Formats: sequence, structure tokens, C-alpha cells
Amino acid sequence: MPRVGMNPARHRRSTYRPARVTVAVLVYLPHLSGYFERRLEVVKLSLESLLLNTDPPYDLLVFDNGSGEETLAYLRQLQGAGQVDYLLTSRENLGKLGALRLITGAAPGEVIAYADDDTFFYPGWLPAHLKLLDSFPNVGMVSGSPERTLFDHGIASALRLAEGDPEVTLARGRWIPEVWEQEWAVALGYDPVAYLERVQPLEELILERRGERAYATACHNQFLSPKEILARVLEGAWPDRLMGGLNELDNAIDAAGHLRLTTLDRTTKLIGNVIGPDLAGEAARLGIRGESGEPKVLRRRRRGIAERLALWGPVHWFLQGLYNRLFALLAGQMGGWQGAAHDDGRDDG
Amino acid sequence: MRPVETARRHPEAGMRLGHNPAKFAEGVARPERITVVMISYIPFLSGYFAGALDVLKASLRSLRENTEPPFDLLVFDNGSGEETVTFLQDLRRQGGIQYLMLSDRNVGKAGAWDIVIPAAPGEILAYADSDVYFYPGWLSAGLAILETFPRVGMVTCRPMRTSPDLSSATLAWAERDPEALLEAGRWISWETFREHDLGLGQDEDEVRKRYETTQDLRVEYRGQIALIGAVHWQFVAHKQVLKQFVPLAVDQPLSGDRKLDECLNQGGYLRLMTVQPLVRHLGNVLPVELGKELAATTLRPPRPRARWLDWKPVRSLLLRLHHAIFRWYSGA
Repeated sequence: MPRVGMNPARHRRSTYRPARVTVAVLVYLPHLSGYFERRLEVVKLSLESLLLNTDPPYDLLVFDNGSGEETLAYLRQLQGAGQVDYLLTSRENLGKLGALRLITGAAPGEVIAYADDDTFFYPGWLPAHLKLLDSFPNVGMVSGSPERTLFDHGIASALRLAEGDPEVTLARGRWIPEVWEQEWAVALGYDPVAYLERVQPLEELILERRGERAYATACHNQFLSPKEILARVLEGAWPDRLMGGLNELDNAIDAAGHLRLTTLDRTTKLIGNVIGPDLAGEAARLGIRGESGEPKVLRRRRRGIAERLALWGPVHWFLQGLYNRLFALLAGQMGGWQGAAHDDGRDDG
Repeated sequence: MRPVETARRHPEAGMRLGHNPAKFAEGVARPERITVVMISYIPFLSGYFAGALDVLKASLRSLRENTEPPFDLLVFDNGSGEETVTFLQDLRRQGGIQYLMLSDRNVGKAGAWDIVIPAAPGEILAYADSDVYFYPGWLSAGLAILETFPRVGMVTCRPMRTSPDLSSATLAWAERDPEALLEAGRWISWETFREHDLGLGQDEDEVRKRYETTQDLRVEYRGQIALIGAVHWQFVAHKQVLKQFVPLAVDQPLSGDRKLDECLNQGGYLRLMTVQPLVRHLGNVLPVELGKELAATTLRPPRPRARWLDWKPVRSLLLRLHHAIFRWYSGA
């Protein structure tokens, strides 16, 4: 007999409602050698800083783009500890744009806060991003790490807004501290001296509207975007490159008339593929890591007394046994389980 | 300046050693045109769910063995227990699942649909509950109807007698389109009808009565024949059609799935079924003929009736206790 008893979940209603923001992190560690030798430590620090420095409500979606088993085991362990709401794994690497497309489809929130897996999050990063999203019109992207090189593309919408909106002013100049530029260069593996020379000609632009200020650019390594805008821009043929195409994404958002902004304060930072000597110290000062580098115990959802009691071994053994006995007793009876037939005759969903 | 020296001068910075080899990789995996999507929910392996993992295994095996067009499999696990998650992860590792999405909690079927429908990478979405068995040719037959008839919302690969209320748009189209030939009759065989309805635990006499007092509606269009109606536990559809109705999960029960049927019908989309039974609903117990090679379930045969359990207050109390324990341990 194909059906015994009634599905106990049948009439229950889920109390879950997606948060406005889905924080989405893309992970890709094919192995732990060569370039990726110390990348798992970077991913761990990135996620720890995110979990500690992001105030709810938000849903966390981690997309693994074909990593090796050690990384998958770590992510699964994180989910088992209640830290990750959705763990989406692809058997093969879809490329960064392909992954972003899948993430955009899967994210349940109306706003997606995307980040590469080597992003360091500072306290208050998410409210600072949301403030810009909600303060400026037609925002397509908000990032947290201002860098001069980002002003070389995708700024047309900002310039148009400044020209056309009397409530908006545009300032040109130099505000980003040079040390931030140097750190950015080092994290990318560039010679900072050569890098600074290269970005020297670029101007920094700040938009101001109703007392809110933002840099008029954004970065595709870490950004917050309305899901609807991202989904529209990512439609079309599936990308055929593992990396790349991201400047084109920036330009497409800009060309569609959406602003790309960055917080004036540095609310996120690029880590790179190795944790620098004092970055661990900064993590300890921020309370993300202990003095000897061990991660703090993080729990997003606290278990109540009743839940802890129910999970205590002897209680769990008794209640599970009672449940099994009740099911066997009741399922052996005719009637009492059969609910109203659905349109196709099924008596449950 | 070498990266190590750079790091020494800029100790607060992150660091990068070497170049990401992914930058130089040529080509990347491309999703298939068809995404088969399955939602699983097995909170533990006892009670109602004692045989559910065996059923899931049989379902996935039949999918792999009996599906010819290339497809990707996306499995959304709605907060199952560790044994089920481990099985799914192992299958993903072996290449049996292309995209595995593990939810930390049960968000309901409609909540899961809200995620998988936009996420599925293919342009065709073939959905199935995790207790569906697939027979050879199921997907090709579903696609043939999907791609022949106009404005199709969903195609189920098994004929059934379903509520006419949810197929009113299909009937209206069949009556007005000059290329559609609509006929009423008994096109579903008694064996096919009986197999499904008995599988729901219904009495054979009731099933026979329903079979003899109801009829099927068949429509032929451009050489393709389909029956009118569909079900939400298995269907083939265009992703773009389904996407317009997302989100579906507002105030729906965990098994809430009629809303999709209602949306498609109200949107004027056709709901159709194959003439042949090419999928089968398994329920929570593996039928003997399918389960020989798999581990036996732990369900015992029903015991003789105990009259005291028929007394309504007693049965009601025991049911409430049963559901309460389930709720504590499943988070549902």
C-alpha cells in the first residue's frame, strides 16, 4: 500500500517570511593548493566578519560554484550550526556571471547584497548600504569600499542625475585616503606605487542629495542591488567565461539608467587570497577572532529552553519513540487520517 | 615590488599571492535547456517518513534511468534530517544532482517554488514531488504537448480525473479554437485510474464508483492528443510562464500548491495531461514490485483494529499529541 497514515506537515503553515535582504556570498575553491592554498582561511574570515557584523533581519545564501570537498564540508558545518539559511551548490563552475544569475533567481529577498568570498565586513555595513539605496533615486548598485579605479566606467547615470535633478549636487576632487588605495592594490596583487600612478588621472565624484553623500561609483566584487534590476540586466544568453564580463555588468546597470554608489566610509574591504599579517589583528580588535586567531562562537538564532530540552538525548529518545508508537497505532486504524480529497484525488499535497 | 615585501610595508592590507587561475580558464559549464526540479522533505526516518528515503531513492533512480533528453537536476531540500541531506550530498558528489539547494528550515512547498522557479537555469522546468516514479518516455511525451499546444501552463505526464474548476480556461479554449477537436469519453483505463486512487488509500468500491460516474475530456490539436487537466505534484512547464506568478507562498500551508493551479487557470493557460500513464505517485511506502532491490522499510503491517481508538475524543487527543511532537522536531 503506497500510503500509510497522513503527512503531518500537510496542514501546517510555515511562519517563515523572507527578509527584505538576501545576503549572498559566492564561494569557489576548487582545491586547497597553489593560489588557493590559504583561501579557505580567507573564506572563513569573510563569513565570520559577515555573521558578526550584520544585524538581522536578513537571509544568508551561500552559493558554492564547484568547490572541493573540504570547502563543502565547512559550508555544510556552518549551515548545520544555523548560520546559513540557504546553501546552494553547483556541481560544476558556472562562471561568476552564471553564478550571479542563479543567485539572483534563488534569492528570496527583494534586495540582494552580493559579495565575493574574500570580502571583509565592518560593523554597520548593511545599514549604510541600505541608507544609500533608500536615499537616492533609481539605485542599481551600492558598494562599501571606495576605490579610485572604479570611476573609470559606469558613471553616466550619476552625471545625468547631477545635471538634471536640482536636489543633487556633484563634487569632483580627491577624498579617498591614499592608504586605502594602497591596500586595495596590495589585495589585488599589484605594486601600489605603480597602481597609484595609474589611477592618478582619475577624478573622484561625490553625489549629495538631501544631506546624504555617496561616491558615484560601485564595485562588482561586493554590492547591494534590487533583485528586479539585477535579474533584468542578467537576462539573456548564459555567459561563457569563468571570470570576466563584470565591467560589462557595471556598464549595463549604468546604461539602464541606474545609479552606482559607494559609501563614503569604508564599510567593506577586499582581503585577497592570503590574510595579511595585521588583518588578523584587526579581526581580533573587532571581536571577530580571538587573540590567537580562533573564531568566536557565533549563533544567529538562539535556542529557547523548550527547544534545548526537546533536543536533550533522553527526552528526544522518549518523544521520538512516543511519536513512532502513536503513528503505528493510528495508522493501523481506518479513517481518522483521510482528509478531503483534492482535485486529483490526492489526500495531501 | 614583490607581494611579500608589499605586505610588509602594508600590514593592514589583505594580500594576494599569485594570480587566480580561473581568470585564464577557457569555457564554463552551460546549463541544459531542461531543468528537472524536485523538492524533498524528510525530517526524520520514522513514523510517516519511515520509508520516505527509500521512496526518494527509487524516484531519483527512475528519473536517471528513464529520461532521454539531456537535463540538469535541481533538488531543493526543505529542511530534511541528516540522513537525507547526506544522501543528497553524496549523490551530488557522484554527479547525480547538478544543483543542490539545502534550506535550513521548511519554507513550505510554495515557498520552495518561489525560490526554485526563478533559480532554475533552464527554459523548461519539469517539476516533481520527491515521491514520483518516472517511466520511459515521460519527458518527451510532456514536451510534445508543451510545444504543440498554444499557451500551455503545465503538462502532467499521467492521465487523471481532476477538478474541472481548475481547467476552465483549457475547456474554454478547446471549445472555441477551430483547430481543437474536443471529445468527452472514458479514455483513462480502469487499471490506470485504480492504480492512482488506490494508492491514496481509498476504498476500491469508492474508486470504482467514481470511475463509472465521471468522464474524461480529450482534445486533439495539430496531431497531438492530450487530456484536459493537470496536477501540481508533477508537471512540465515553460519557466517564463511560471515566473510571472511568483511569489506564491503568501499565507499558504506547507503543502500549499493549489495556488499555482489557480493562477495558471485564471491567467488563461492550458493545463493538460498525457494520454499514457508515464509517472506514478508512490506515496510514503515503496510498492513491493519497485522495492526489491532497495532496503526494506521499517513500517510494520497494520495491527488489528482497537475499538477504543475509534472513540473520537481519544483519537483526537492522540492525533494532536502526534502532530505536536512532529512540530517540535521538524520546525514545521
